[in-house]
Amino acid sequence: MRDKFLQFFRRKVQLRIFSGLSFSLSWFLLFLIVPTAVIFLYSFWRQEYISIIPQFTIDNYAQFLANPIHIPLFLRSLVISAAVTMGSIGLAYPAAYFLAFRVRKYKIPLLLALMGPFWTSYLLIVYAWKIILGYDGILNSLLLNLRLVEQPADLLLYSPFAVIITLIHIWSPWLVFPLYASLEKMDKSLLEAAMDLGATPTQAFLRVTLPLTWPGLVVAVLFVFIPTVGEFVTPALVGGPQGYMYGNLIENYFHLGFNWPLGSSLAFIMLAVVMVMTLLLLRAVGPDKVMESL
Amino acid sequence: MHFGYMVFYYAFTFAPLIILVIFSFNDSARVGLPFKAFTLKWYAEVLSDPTILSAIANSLLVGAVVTLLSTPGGTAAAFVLVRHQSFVGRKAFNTLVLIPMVIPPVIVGISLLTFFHAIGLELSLVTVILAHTLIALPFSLLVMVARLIGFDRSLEEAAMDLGADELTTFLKVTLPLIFPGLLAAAILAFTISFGEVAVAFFTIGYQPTLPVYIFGQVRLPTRLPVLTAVSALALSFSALLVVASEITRRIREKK
Repeated sequence: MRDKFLQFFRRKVQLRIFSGLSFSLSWFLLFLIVPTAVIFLYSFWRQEYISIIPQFTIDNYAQFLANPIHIPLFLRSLVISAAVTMGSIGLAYPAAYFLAFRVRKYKIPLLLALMGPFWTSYLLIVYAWKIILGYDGILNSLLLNLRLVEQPADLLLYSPFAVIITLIHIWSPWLVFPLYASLEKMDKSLLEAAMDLGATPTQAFLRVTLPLTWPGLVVAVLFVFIPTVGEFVTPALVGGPQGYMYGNLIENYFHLGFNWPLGSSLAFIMLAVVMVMTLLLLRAVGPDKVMESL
Repeated sequence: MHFGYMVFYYAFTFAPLIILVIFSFNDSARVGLPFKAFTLKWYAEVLSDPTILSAIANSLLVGAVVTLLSTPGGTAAAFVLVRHQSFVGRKAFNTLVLIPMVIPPVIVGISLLTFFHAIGLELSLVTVILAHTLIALPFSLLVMVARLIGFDRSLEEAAMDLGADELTTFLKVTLPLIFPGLLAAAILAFTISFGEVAVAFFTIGYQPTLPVYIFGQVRLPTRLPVLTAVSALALSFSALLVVASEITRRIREKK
């Protein structure tokens, strides 16, 4: 009798769990997992004019290796993403550190203010940089008015530099939050202990503070590096030919170039690379920890 | 030292946005110096441009439907994650939640485009809603998880002890308590959808949302002053939403 009751109760709990998760689960399966499987399938098909021929071929993957622009663009995207990730951490870490340890007045308003850019459409931020850095833009008009340059300089816009600075601007306020959270949670007596034992402030930072903020840094890599590898909006607006990225290539195969199977295979190669990275990072920290530090 | 750094950091973070707003008032066909005169004519042009107005209406509609879908969906899952610490597949589900947040948007965009094409669903605002709900859902879910962790269950237990059934308890006790959190999650979902461009770019039909419209027009130099004005409007709108969300948090804390 008791067993039967328990069994029923357990079943009911499972039912409750399942119904609670059902909306999210079905959405993730239907609009994330299934579509990814679909492009995986397409990546082994081929396209003739406007029709897609469902015939197995590894030709698209061979083209990734054979085409001389694919791999360099992929590498360039990885380099840009790495620069953006390091730049955003480099800018956000001191801000988070000072907010956690030094700033006493207006701490909360200062933190909240950083939510502003995070809530802003990222297209608008890219757009702001475009009108600032543009050929006819604000910076150039300033330099011309101050007679610092004779001709508008084309250095700033339409370069990988413009892409990197724009993306750092977009991501770094975002990173202050997880970094601040892990610094704030830190047991400060550990730092005092390190100092008592004769550590210099630099040593204490490197051997105590930095390791303890590791989950926050993993979040940074996960949430900045990985989406940035596939970036195509920012390069389209401020990148120019030199700032053109792998994401633009994929976008091109789906629109102008019109070769969905090839575009799918390129996307899948990127997906495989970022998936392996994500799984390694998640294994190092654990998804629960990552979600906690968000 | 820290003071100087903070000034630099906040200037770097906010200057581009402030500059955007300032130059939306510049009476010049070119977005740049010199600042000729103060004008509202670009705003007037925004308000009299039917394509921009319909793009704004499309964005509001998509954002509203996405909010209505992802807030209850994410909340239901958040209840499960907070109240059932261990169940089969918890880790897998958590990973599934994180994927849409980190995966490059271009992949979500092209895979949804291919998927909609494969099942014969024509691209329209409906497909954008389906896509944006996928993107907003993890955020609604995580906001609600954060809010539910501090939830005092003894109030629910008290209601049940006094004879209320599950539904009554939920409606009369749980819902009023989580309402500020729900509002915050809803505002976040709306904001994400309202500003999203990369995935919408692939899943949109003939009616653009505002970011997709701006993205398409930005190459035309003559459109820049009007686009700057509409961008400044969208920025102010987001700023208002942040303030609104912050107020809901304060309300919760007072309780």
